[in-house]
Amino acid sequence: MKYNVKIGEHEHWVEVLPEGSNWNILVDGEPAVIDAAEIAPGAYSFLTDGRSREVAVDRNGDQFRVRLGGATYDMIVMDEVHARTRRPERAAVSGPAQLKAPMPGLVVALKAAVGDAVEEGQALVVMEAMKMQNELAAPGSGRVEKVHVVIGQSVESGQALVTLAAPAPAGEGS
Amino acid sequence: MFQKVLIANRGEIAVRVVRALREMGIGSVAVYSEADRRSLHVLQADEAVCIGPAPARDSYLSVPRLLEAARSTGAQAIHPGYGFLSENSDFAAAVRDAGLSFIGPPPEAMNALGNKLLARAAAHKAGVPVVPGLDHPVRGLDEARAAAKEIGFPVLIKASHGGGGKGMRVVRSEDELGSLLELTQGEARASFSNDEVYLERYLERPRHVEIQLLADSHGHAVYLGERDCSAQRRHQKLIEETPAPGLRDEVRRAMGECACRLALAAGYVNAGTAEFMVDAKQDFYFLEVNARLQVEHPVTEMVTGFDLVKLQLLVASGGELPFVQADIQPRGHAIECRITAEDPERDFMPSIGKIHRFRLPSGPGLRNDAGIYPGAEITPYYDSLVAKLISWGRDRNEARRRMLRALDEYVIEGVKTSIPFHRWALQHPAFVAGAIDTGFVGAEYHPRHIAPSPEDEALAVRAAALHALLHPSGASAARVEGPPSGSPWKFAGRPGAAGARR
Repeated sequence: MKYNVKIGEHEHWVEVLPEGSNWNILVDGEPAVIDAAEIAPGAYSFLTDGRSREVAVDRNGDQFRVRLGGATYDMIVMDEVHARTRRPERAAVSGPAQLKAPMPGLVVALKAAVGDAVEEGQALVVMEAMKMQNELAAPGSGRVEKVHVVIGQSVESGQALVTLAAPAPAGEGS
Repeated sequence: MFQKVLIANRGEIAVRVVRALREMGIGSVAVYSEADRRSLHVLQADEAVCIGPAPARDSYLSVPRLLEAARSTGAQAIHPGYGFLSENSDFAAAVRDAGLSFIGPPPEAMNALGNKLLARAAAHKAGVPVVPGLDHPVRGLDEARAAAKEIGFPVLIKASHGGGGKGMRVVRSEDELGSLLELTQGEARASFSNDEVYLERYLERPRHVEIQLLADSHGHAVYLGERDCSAQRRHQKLIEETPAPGLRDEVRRAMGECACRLALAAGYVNAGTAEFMVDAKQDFYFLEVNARLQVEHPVTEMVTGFDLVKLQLLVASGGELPFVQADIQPRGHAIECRITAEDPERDFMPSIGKIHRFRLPSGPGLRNDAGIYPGAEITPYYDSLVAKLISWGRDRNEARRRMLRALDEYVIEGVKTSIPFHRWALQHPAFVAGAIDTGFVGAEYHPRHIAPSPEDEALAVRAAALHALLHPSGASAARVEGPPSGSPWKFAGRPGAAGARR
């Protein structure tokens, strides 16, 4: 079976083939024979070339989260058929970008106002959760179109905080 | 001795206190907020009382509810843990007025050594060195200018009621002084309801070394060595160890004796921690006393063999310390890593969710103080500290390597944790050499240092594909944690409501 795996900026084609009691898993044609034992649902013991690793996989539809060696990897996994028929999703992202709350918390400071030009990575909102204050950065460059929250407001995870409009093309405006 | 003790706290420290109580045959009463019904401290205590809704100000910070819980269960004493109300002298006084014992210092001593300016005054009296600076609140800009010139830039503006790394600002030149003074006073007013500030010399990259002290009500005070807590990020400690690497014996002894003198002069009783800054020449400067059990107390227990919580209980019930200074002979080296639910790849952003796999490291020379279990929920209401891992070794290097081994064994899934950071820090040449100061993490740490290898990423990709093949339906979807959308608990905490964890 062949899968398309997107991780960050990278995209891989992965083929999973049974080989005796093991699996030969090829990433972009690069083979690796793995003795895999599922020790708990979604938790695997891998032996590759005698090396022992533990890896855990969670799945929600085509979104996968893999944990290995203390690191977490988020990826999108589709089988070949779905991957080939899916529409390119990134093409449509030209509308306004939104900064959303990554967790429930309290808005303690606003660092930009409507009309401000902001750079990607610039702090826009300071949120407090678990007693810690965290600066939330602009997801892209642009102009602040709307600030949806006020200082002192409790927000839920995923709630829109700031909407950014794409920066005006060079030469336009005063 | 008490028959029953209420623990006015939650999480790993409440579990820690329950353990001491059980070993002593004393009954334990846990309190919990509505968000903590399933928390480990509730499961482990003999009795448990709900004291209100999730926000700390309505539960763990509610003095009337805590006193009512003690009354209704017949508890004779209250252990405050750390954070929350542990250093609130009004709470300590209210406990005493209710006819109960407070397992901590008397409120008067708490005030005398916990308030930064009063602590400076007490230090002067006891002949304990402090950082050069003002000994009274700044009265105006002119006075601040004159004082800053005398102290020498850079100076630090400090709120005298501040704590937890808040209410401090570095001033590098005279023209910044006016605006920063106003700003710090405003912050102090907002955060501590008191705008009193003073000035002291700002030490560039000192070490943070603290003395564990213990005093009884019969006029005895001892120190149980020191802890180096220089591995901090934004004033939050991440790694602590004892002994402090390279600290000269005579410096250690002088610091210990200073701490005991201060404690005796202030009428301090119970466990406390005298915080010092130590510079490159090993000159030391007293800061303040943390009038409570410290998060990092286990490293002291590992090398001294004493159970500090049991000693707190003994002293609070009027008992005499069962040993003298000469009996305290630390052995070996201990390191603690704070396992927090924070994402070290994303600026230590808090991470919430359900713990679905959890396996603690074990084997020689380790101690786990954890407040979680598989299935436990990490909520956004409280501190992100979920567990502490402590290693002991015959020397520092053995303790360090043992800690690295233990971090490799640690399995915790469902939230991001500080473990990758610890792995990086413990292998950093400066840490290995025992040569770090409080500027270490800020100057050296970058998320790219914990980025996984391409080989690991390829293996993770293989695992995902294999899982897709073996579980084609996505049947494990229910186990994918994420931000709990539509959470029944509404976050309504107040900035700093849960108090400072140091």
